[in-house]
This record gives sequence, C-alpha cells and structure tokens, in this order.
Amino acid sequence: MRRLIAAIAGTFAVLVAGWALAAPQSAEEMANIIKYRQGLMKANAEHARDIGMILKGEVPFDARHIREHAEAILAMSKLIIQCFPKGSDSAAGKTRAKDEIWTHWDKFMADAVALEKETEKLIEVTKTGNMSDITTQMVIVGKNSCGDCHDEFRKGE
Amino acid sequence: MRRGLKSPPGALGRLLLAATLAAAAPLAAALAAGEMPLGAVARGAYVFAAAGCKECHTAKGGKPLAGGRALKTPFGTYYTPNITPDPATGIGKWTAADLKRALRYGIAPDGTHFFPVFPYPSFTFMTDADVDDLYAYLMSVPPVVQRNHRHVIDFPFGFRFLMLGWNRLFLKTGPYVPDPARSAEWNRGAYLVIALGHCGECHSPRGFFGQLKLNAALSGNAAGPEGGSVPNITPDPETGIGKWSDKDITYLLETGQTPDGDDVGDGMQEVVDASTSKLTPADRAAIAVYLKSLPPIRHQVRKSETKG
Repeated sequence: MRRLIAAIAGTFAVLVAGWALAAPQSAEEMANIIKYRQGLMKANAEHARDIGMILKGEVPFDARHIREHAEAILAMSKLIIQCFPKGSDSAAGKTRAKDEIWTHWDKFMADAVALEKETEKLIEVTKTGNMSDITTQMVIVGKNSCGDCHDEFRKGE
Repeated sequence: MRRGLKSPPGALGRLLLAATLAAAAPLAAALAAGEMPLGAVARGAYVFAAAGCKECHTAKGGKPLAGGRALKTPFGTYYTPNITPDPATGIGKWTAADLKRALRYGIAPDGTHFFPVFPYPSFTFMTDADVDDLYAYLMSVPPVVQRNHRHVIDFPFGFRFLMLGWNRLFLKTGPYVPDPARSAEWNRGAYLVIALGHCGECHSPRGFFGQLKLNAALSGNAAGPEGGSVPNITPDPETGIGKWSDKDITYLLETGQTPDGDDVGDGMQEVVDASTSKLTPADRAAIAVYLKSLPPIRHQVRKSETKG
C-alpha cells in the first residue's frame, strides 16, 4: 500500500514537473529568468575568482575556504538547467545565450552535469589540502566545465 | 603571503614540464640510435610548447602535427602543413638549416615563400640555439603520412612571389637582440612574447596588407582569428590589463582563468593548453614582467560577437 502511494505520488510529481516546464511563460517571466540566471552565473564567477585569489596567495586562506566556494558552485550548478527554459533566448532579453542551447539540449545538459561532477571532485580534493592538486582540478573545472560550455553556448562579448 | 602561491604553481609547473618531456619519450629509439643528443630533444620539446606549434599544425581530431587545420583569413583559407618527419608528406627531408630559413625568412627549402599566416614574422626572432633544439624535437616525433591540403586563397593573394615584396616592406628579421639596459627576466619575457609565444599575431591589430601594426603592438585586434575579437594586453588601465597584478597574468597563463573568475574562452584556451600552461613558473613570471613594462595603449577593442 505504502509503495502504491509512493508510486502515485511519484507519478503526480513527474506530471506537475512536466506541466511546470511545459507551461507557457510570459515575456516578462522570460526576461526575469535571464536576469536571474545571469546573477547565478555571476555568483559562480565570483566564487571562481575568490578561489583564484587563494591559489595566487593574495589572501591568507587555505583549502577549507576553497571547499566552501566549491560547495557554493556545486549548489548553483544544480540550478542551471532549470534556468534555461525554451524561449529564454536573445528574443526575450539581453543575453549571450546561443540558440544552440535549445537545438543541442542534450549536450547542454551533459555540460551542466559535467560541471557538477568536476566540482564534486574539486570538493574531494580540497580535503587533502594539497594546493597543487587543487589547482589541477580547478583548471579542469574552469576549462572543461565552464570553458567548454561557454565556447559552445555563449556568444562572445 | 607567498606561501600559498609558491608551492602550487611550482609543483604544477614541474608536473607539466615532466608531462611535456614524457610526450617525447616514445622517441627514445631515435635517440638510442645516437641520431641526436637527448638534451636537444628535451629542450626542443619546451621550445615547441612555448611556440605553440601544435595548435595550428594539428587538425581537430587529427593526428598530432600532421597539419590540415583550416585557418580562415581575410585573404582566403589556409591549411596548415604536416610538420612530422615523414619524408614524403612532412618535413622529413628538411635540414636544420631549412628550418632556420623557414622560421627566420619565411622561405621553404624549395625557395618558395610561405604566407605570413605562418607566423615567421614572429619566429624570425628565435635564437639559433632554440631553432636547432626545435629541429631535434620535430625530427623525433612519430612521422605521419598525410598529404597537405591546398590553400584556397582569393585572387591575387595566392601568388607566392608577392611575398617577396611583402617581406621587403614589412618583415623585420631576427634573431632577438637582448636589451642590455633591461633585466634578464625582462629580456626573457620579451623573447617569449615576441618570438616564441608570437602573441602579437593575434593580439596586435593588422594593416591593409595583413601586416602587424608594430606601433600598436599587443593593443588588441577587433578582427581576430576565426571571427573573434582579441583583447588589448598592454597595461592601459581602462582598455587593457593595467589593473591586473603580475599574479593575475601568471595565473591566467597557467589556468586559463581571468581575474574576474571567467574562463579565457576558445582561442586563448588553446594557447593555455598547448603552450602557456606548460611553461615554467619563472617563464610565466617573465612574461608578466614584460607585459607590465609595455607602454600602455588606449585601444578599446570593439565588442563583437564570435561566430556561433
């Protein structure tokens, strides 16, 4: 019985989620989503910048600080996919998002998942406190996760 | 304060240098045969990385250094040649003197002119010793049989003899002469930026004939390669990198991350991967010293959309 309820609840949740994604959204909502996700991306850049300041030795903080920044990036990375509903493109507002996001949605999703995975690895490696290994993994996050996705799906300035 | 900085780039730099050298390891057979001294190949591997040869001479998904990468320019599309030591399709028959002539004067062993899409106007400043080491390294990589793709050049730029005039007008030949009034570090940085790194090939604006505008060197190029704009890297505080610290520069060259936490983006990322991340921390620091010493040039590179 409990399993049945869970199954029904699960199905219901999926349907609601599907409806929410498919629901037509107003132009204003689209413009707001663009603004919202730009804040999210900006936040990630700020965390990456702070990690860089630590690795450069510009601030006297250690791997524990880097871990907290990485946790923040991980949390934000899980929100990325939802921030790019169909229609939140350059027709809806000022955005550098390329239309390829929606024509190559699977690749875009895979890139977002890659960011999560690589950031999780960064969190792991901060536990060792080895700054050289942390730098190596930070390069991978910046290049393979941020960089590759930006090259593919973000217009130049 | 230095504690945090010193250990990671040092260790990472050593690791990357080791990786660069390891890439040359399968060539031990040629060395064992006594064909060339190991020192030259190892040093040449470093010159090769600093000069970023691999980026252009390897097609996307292609065999390393077998060429075939298309370079679109305002004069047409050029295809990079095979620089592996295959005697028929690569440079296997070249002598060290041939390589020197190609890099210093832009002239092929058969006497024809290269087009300056091959950055010999920068490589001309390489020292003889670096060219010799590079030759030793190039002759030690695995040969690949791959024919060169014909260039597709707009009329009338395809006539190679035209380069004779172009070179007369625009080519200033090297090698680099150190400035005795400057420190050894500054001179090393200048050499890395001007000669090996050939930074100006993308970061300097070009004139009507595609020549580098040397009076505006490194001040950015709105019409950069592959349709992108390339930023001003002179120390102008508003339009260049005047607000960056030395560490901001070395960290970018090592990691590909900008001082504002962004990634450098497509073209420069390739440079970081193939070249600047493989340099020693001392060489990256020398580049920073040199760049910061340049006269600041106010030049706002027009924001343009990269091709999508």
